[in-house]
Amino acid sequence: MLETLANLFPGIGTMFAMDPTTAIARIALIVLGFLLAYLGFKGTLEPLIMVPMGIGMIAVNAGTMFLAGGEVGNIIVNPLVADTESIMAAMQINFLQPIYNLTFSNGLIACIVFMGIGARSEISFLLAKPWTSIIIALFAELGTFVTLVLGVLVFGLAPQVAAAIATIGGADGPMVLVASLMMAPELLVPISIIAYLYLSLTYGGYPALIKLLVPKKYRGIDTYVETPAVSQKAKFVFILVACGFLCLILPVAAPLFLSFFLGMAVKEANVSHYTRLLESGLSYLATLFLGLLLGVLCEASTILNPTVLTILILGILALAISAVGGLLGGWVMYFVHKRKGTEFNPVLGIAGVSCVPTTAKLAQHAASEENPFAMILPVAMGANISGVITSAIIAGIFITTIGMVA
Amino acid sequence: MEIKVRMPGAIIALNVKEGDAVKTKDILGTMEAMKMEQPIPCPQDGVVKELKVAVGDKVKAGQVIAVIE
Repeated sequence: MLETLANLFPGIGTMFAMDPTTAIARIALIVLGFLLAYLGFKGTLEPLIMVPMGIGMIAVNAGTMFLAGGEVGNIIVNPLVADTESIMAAMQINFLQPIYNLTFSNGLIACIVFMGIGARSEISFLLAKPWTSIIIALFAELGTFVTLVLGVLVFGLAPQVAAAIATIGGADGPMVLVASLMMAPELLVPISIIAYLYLSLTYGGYPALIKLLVPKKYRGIDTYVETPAVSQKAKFVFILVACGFLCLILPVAAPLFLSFFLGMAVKEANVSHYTRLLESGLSYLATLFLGLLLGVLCEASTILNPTVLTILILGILALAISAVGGLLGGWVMYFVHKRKGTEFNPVLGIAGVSCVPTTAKLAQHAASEENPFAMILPVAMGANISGVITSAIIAGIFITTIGMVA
Repeated sequence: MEIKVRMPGAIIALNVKEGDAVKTKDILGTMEAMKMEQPIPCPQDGVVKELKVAVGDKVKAGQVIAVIE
């Protein structure tokens, strides 16, 4: 009788066919999926990613069944198929398999999101205060470097694995994906999921860090920047040259550079059809499927990897230390400007953590709270965009050097 | 004195008309930049000589939106 029930409701029946740890993990992940989707619904976490991710998590962990050959699995996606024959077979059965193999595991979907980010980035903000932007962005990479060192020395990880996890400190989803793809493909799933989860959480945690490290009277400082009279021609040429140069020195990150600068170039050249396409349609399509894939990859058996705990710890450290580093950079620029006799808001340091445009807006919010007339968003955007490019360069350097050392 | 906006965006509210008297720190209007609302403050006492935008206009960074005398 129980047998018949188990076969009638395979989702439940499979629970008894697997070892207890996996079964409990499945239930825990269903609950987690619920929580994430609900928090996305409420707006506490980024709904664009969390709603599809949460619901995907629920579906994949609940919808397990008995497959042909007595194995337990689902018909949503199987990330473990490796050889071409099996992949082709799986793509005809599992409905998200084609998206996984053809856009996720080669980084395409991440690059499309990156194109969208490029299309929304106004480079004149960076060109208005180039040195400030770059210095703040470099300080904001502190988390990446500290995590790399900690990962290797304290947690005993292989250098590539530590480097892949360290890119979380760059606060850029697509970059973490591509870096993990190239340096630690077996951990691509847990690293990406944790990265996106934490990036959603920066909304909550960073304002507190800002309040901690920048006293009230400094938070409201207005920082004026003269919008540079950079011609569109100059900006466009800069974009092309920067792309070419960066690809030349770091070809492993060429997909990232190409995508980002393509977005920017299309915007600068006023190809409004493309800009609209990249900024909205394509970008949101990619984000939707990215979130969905991250959710369905969060299947109990894939995620029960001992390294997951390490990634959880290192990930949060990376983002926290990057924020601290960024704010430190903000303070450095405050003193540099003071010596020159101009004002600078140290809160701008947080915008160096390259979550575009979240951290720039966080900086503006923190300033507006203390001084409603403060308009530091332009400078924040400069640091933000600089942060993206810096993170991409560092990801490229990691892949090139550490990939070679391994 | 020319009142300029510092970010590209849109004017979503205007609190003054041409001819109005204004004081320092009065809010001339509100603009929306990157989905954030920002007040546009008046830097000096005077009278609104020219108002160059209307509610709903898109503005570029550095664009002059009003002249105060």
